[in-house]
Amino acid sequence: MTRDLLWETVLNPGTGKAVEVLTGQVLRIEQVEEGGQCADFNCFNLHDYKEHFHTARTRHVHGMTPTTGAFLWSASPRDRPMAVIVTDSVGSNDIMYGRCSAWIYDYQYGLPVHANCHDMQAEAQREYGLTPDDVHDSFNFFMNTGIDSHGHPFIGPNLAGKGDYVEVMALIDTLMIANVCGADVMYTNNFQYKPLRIAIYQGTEAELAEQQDRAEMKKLSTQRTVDQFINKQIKATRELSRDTSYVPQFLNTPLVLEDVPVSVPEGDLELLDRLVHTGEFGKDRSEALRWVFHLWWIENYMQGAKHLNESAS
Amino acid sequence: MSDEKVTVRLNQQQIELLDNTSKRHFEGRSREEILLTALRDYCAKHGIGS
Repeated sequence: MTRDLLWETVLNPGTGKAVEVLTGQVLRIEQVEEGGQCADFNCFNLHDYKEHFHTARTRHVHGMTPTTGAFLWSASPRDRPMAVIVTDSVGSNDIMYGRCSAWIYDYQYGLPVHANCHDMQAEAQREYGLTPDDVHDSFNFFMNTGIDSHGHPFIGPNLAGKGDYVEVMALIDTLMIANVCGADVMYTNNFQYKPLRIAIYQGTEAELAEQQDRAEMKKLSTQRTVDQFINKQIKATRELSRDTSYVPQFLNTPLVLEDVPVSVPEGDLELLDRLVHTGEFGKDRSEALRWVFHLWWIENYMQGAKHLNESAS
Repeated sequence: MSDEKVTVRLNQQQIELLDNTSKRHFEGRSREEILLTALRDYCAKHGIGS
């Protein structure tokens, strides 16, 4: 696909760059030299920096290694796609590790002065008036990770080669910040920094329309905006103090339990007893029926990922 | 063994899910019928009791 090039640069090791990527534009992050370089990535709503990319929602929806077609979601209460991965020539990304920071290299390596993603992100976004506290957990493009049999995350060799790239299309006006990941003493970048090319292209109308037509782009009332907040003003002082006029307004409370009686025929009682006997459906028939209703509902009607252990079935 | 009463304890959100399921997929059948359908379908799919 041929797109118009709007802007490009090469990021040297130890640096990052904040760029405005507007709706329908595409940010490409590309391997130069021999490849094998991770790129940390943050994303803000250009018109409201409090809306930012959220690894947890993205992980929830797309799993541990998002790739082509995965949306980059904003944190709750906004909960909407900010951008989408339209190309990924490697398919090995990480959304588990946050971002490396000065503390990691000091604590784990005894190196108090060391290039790190948090500081690079903070310095790059300082151009837009943001503080180091505004850096959020990164999407780590080209980072090869997994979880071992003990449940611990691990980092493996970087699989990207020269010329490999990812492309992210903005679905709202964004500030995107990419940096050359600072991990030269871990597997992340195959123990050596390489520069990265970043470029902004104009996406086609058809590309944008194709993404906007997807089910996840449907607007729901639960994707909150500032006008729905009880507190609308961003707190300007760091010190916290109690509001003595505060009255709790928790959603949908009180949560009240209701007993639903079910006349269960003999054959179905046996099913319930078998479920209870497995030890995996609660402690009695009542719990088993509640558990099995919800599991059945998830399997048959739940939108998106089911979050059931497919390895166990 | 004849029929026995089993009481399922649900909060209002879970009740809403149950009632929506009945309206959208089972033509308004009773909560009891939906719960029993879930039990039978789930067990059949997962080979419980077969």
